[in-house]
Amino acid sequence: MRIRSFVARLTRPSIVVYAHCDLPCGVYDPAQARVEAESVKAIQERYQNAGQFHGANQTLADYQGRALAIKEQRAELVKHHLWVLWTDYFTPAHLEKYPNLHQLFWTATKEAGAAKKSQDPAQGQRLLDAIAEIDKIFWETKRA
Amino acid sequence: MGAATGRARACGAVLAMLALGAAARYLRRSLLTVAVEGRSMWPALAPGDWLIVRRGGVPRDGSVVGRVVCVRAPDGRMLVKRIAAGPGDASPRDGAPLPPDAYFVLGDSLEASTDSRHFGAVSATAIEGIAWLRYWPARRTGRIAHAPAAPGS
Repeated sequence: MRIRSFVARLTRPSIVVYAHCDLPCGVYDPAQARVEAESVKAIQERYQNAGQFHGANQTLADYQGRALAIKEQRAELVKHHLWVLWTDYFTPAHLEKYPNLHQLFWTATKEAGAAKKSQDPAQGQRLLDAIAEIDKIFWETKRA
Repeated sequence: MGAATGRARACGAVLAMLALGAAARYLRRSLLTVAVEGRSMWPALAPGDWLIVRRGGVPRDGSVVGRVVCVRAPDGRMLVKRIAAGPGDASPRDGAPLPPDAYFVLGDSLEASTDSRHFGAVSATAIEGIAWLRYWPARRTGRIAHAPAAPGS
């Protein structure tokens, strides 16, 4: 073990070189919004079956309260990631090619807002569907 | 007799240590080990790659184009990028020929890189060395490929 750490010390570089990217670095991906939206939907599902999920040291009301609080945060993150795509990634040229873009973002962010109030997984699915439509256009513009 | 052999042995040991020390100093002066952070050189380099860099000795002609180099950015950070154009070549930024002692560096992943497009061409003195070998991770060891074509094209 001592020999191993000695070898590691000898071979580990002392200098970091940055293959870096300062902001704004142009890395965008609707996956960020999708992952948060999946959390939202999963929480809505768990809320419906909270009886199975709440721990031994937790009342049902505590578990549900916590689920609502986290869902609130995740839904806000969905909005944030969508807004970054909408305002920073997409350009007027994209809008010309995809005239429904504003409508899609409006629908998706509205669904993210609705997700804060809704405990229905079907609503979470509508949010995911709306993000999927944006995702499709996003990757079309990436290929172009 | 015994004492003489002992002295000869000690002498040999000292000489061997001096030789090792000199070799280590030479290697330290001419080689550098660095760890890569960031994704701008993907797929040639990945975050966490450990490289051996040959210090100095930047060829002052077109043969340096396509090399992966460690370069000192104007903000003082050490970067790893690829030389896209050298003195006399058309600048990828505006097409004008680069002046003598001007090297234009780019990341291989153009959309995830801050490079000469942002801070301009660098001089040979800013280039610390040429990335030569990757020695870690073990399954990706080998020479760092030299890309003759402009990166990203």
